[in-house]
Parts: sequence; C-alpha cells; structure tokens
Amino acid sequence: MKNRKVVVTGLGAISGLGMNLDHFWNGLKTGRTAIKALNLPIENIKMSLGATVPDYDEKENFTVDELSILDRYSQLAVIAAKEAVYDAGLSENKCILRDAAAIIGSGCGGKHTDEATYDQLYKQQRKRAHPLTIPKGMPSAAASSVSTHLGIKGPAFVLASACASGSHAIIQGMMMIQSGIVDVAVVGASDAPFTYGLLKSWDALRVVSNDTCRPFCADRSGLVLGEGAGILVLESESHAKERGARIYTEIVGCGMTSDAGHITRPDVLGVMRALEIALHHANLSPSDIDYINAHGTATIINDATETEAINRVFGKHANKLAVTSTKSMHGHALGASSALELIATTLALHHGIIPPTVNFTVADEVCDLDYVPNKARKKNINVALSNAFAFGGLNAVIAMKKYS
Amino acid sequence: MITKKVTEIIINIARCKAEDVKPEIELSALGLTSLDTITMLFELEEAFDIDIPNEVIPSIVTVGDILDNLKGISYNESA
Repeated sequence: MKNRKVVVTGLGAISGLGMNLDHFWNGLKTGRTAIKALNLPIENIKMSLGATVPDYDEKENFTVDELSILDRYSQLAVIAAKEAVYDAGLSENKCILRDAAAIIGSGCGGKHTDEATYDQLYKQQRKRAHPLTIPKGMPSAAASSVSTHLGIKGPAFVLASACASGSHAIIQGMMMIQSGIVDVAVVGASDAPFTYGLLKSWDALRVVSNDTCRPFCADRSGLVLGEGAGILVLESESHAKERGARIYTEIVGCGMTSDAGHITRPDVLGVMRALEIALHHANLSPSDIDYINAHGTATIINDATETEAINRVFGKHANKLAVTSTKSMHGHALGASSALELIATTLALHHGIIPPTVNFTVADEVCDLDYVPNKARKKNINVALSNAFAFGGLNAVIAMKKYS
Repeated sequence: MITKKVTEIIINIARCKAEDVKPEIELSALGLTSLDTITMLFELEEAFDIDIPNEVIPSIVTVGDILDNLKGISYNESA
C-alpha cells in the first residue's frame, strides 16, 4: 500500500478573479489582475487595495440556516470544494466521498465571526455573545463545513502554517494517499481576511502596497491581500484509473523545512533546503524543472531571497526556468494562496500555458530570472514546482508532473 | 405580548408555523436541536433583557415552560 502515485483529478477555485475555476484560469492566462480599490465601509485603514471575490452574494450560495453556522472563510471553502468534487466527477459518488479525507489549510480561520463578536462585546458593550460564535469561528470550522456539505467521513481537519497552509494541507493529503490511509483526499485552503482587525494588523506590518502587487520589480512596494479558496481532489493513480477519471497532473514530491529563525524574515538557506528536498524527494534534478510558481509576494525581502535561493539551487539552469508570481493577479490570499497557486501550476502543466507575472515594470537588479512579464506564454512544460514560504519560517515546495 | 415574541423567536429558529407553537408542545417536537435551544435562549435573553441561568435549562421542555419562566418580567415591544 505504500508509495502509491498521487494524481490530481479535480479542481475548484473561488478568488478575486471570480466565482469559479474558469474565471480563475481565464484571468491567469489573460494576465488580468483582480486587485482593485477596496472601498470598504471601514474608517482609518491605510490599506486601499485588495483582491476580494467579485459580486459575491452569500445568500445565492447558502440557505439562511446554513449561513448561521458558516463563517465567510468556510463558505469559500465549501464552494471551492463542491466545484472540485464536481470537476472530479465525484459529486454523486457518496461511497467514495464518505471514505475520503478533507484537509483544509487556513492562515487566519473564522475572523469575520470572531471580530463581529468582539465588536459587539467590546465596542457596542453588548452583554452576551451569540451561541454559535464558537462553532462558526473556530479555526477548524472549514474542515467541518466541507465534510458536512460533501458527506466526507474520513480524516478531516484544518491545519495552519500561515501562507504555506494550503501547501502543507495538500502535502498531508498526498501522504495519506501514498501511505494507503485514504484513496481520495479533498485538500486545499481558504481565507477571508478582509476584516477590520486584520486589515489594521496588516497595516501595522508595513508590508502592504497601496500601488499594486509588482513581484520582482525594482519599484515593488509590497503585497496586496486577497481572499478565496483553492481546493484539489487528490487520488491514488490506481483509484483514478479504475473509475476512468480525467487526470490533470501527478504530484511527485515535496520539500518542507522551517527556518528556526526570524519570525518574518525568510532565511535563504531554509528556502534552498525546501527546494532541494523537494527535488530529491521527487527524484528530480534541477534541469528537469521547467516552471516555478513562486511565492512572489512583492515584498522587498521575499522576492530577493526567493530569487537568490532559486539561483543557488538551480545554478546555470535558473536562467532556463520560467518563474512567475500569480499573486500579482489573485492577490495574497494568505493560506489559500498556496492552494490557488498549485491549481495555477496544475493548469499550466495541463494546458501548456505559463501564467505571467503582471503589473511588471522593470526587474530589480537582484531579481534576474525569467518572470514571464505581463503576458502568458504558451509552452509545453512537463515538470513544475510551487513555492510557499510563510511567516514564521515555514517553507513548503510541491513538485508536480504533467500526466501522460 | 410576551407570548407573541416567544412564538416569533421559536418560529424563526424552528422554521415552523405559528399554529404549531402551543404551550403544551415540546421544543424537540418542533425540531429544535440542543444547539437550536441554546440559540433560542440567547434570543430570549436578548429580546427580554434577562439572564436565564443554566440551572433553569433542564426544566424548559415545552413552550409553556418558557412562558412560565418569563412570568413577571416587564417587556416593552418597542424596546
């Protein structure tokens, strides 16, 4: 049962680029950015830009009763999970879903619920909290919600590693399938960070841009927050073949490290080790890699560190890599970003189209790779990596192959 | 007035009809789960600006039990 091949058979995405996977991929391949003026009814926020889900009406997606227990981040997780399961052709297969796992990552959990309650208690001096505050806002709520809405009765939990949460959740699902614990895993991440307290807190970190997100550029000025959920259906190859599923890609390895250092400053050695371990785990050499979906936050320190790590690990081959940051289009959706980015990587391999780094002006002198500026590139690629390097020095790299 | 407000709260949580909310009927018969019941107690506390102690909860089985517990409180509908 060990070391079974793991393939991707379903995808679901809700993001600033739109309500579903088609909107997401069309946005990426046409180089459309979802970053726009926030226009939130909140005073005293420096942050002026974000990639919020456009035209989202929760009542169009859930009943009043369902909404009573669904924080916004759980709503997004359920919508993306339903789409991924439908995409995998499993919506009606209750037996397969029953035995599946649901591993969801999140960087911030049910903040809408928590903050609304705190506002009522601290600011409005209300006497009592609503009794559904805990089950609705708890960090694990998204896993419970996905499990309940899809009838998943296997292992289910939420894990958190800040901006790498999605990657770690996907890796956890991959390992469960490899080891034979489950045949199918619904994995990914969700985050909905547009709340007063979180926006003020991100303001305080002074890493947010009020220009736009320009990864790897000389005039880059920081990240732009996004929201959304990215969910993938992972499956053992034999299980997928047996039921005749369409297979997008194969996940062939991963590298996970932690810096054990500064809480926000990435350590180039920790990043390099994650890349090297992913290559080794996947039995790949640097020259096998065609494309890297970068962490690419557009902060000064991240982009320089990530570029240095890629150069040092890949040597001369670094110049042959396409390295793009799709955060320039869907924003930095915290934990959900790394899941959305693995979906972008999956579709890049599947369709032979490398999504660009948009808003690109002039490359920073310390950022000397091919960032595929502003326009997607048609290119048949076979092997790709997806990088996630989170606050707290938590690094995860996933290696993926085109399926043939 | 109190009965009307209690009925309204129960209807909103149980999604039942007004005529189903009779004093003798048990809350569970209206489809209220334990979580629904806690939500109902919250709504009652909010509506009547009262505190319902945990010790009272086991004695609240029927709609009538709620009304009995609310006897004597003052309630201004417009508040």
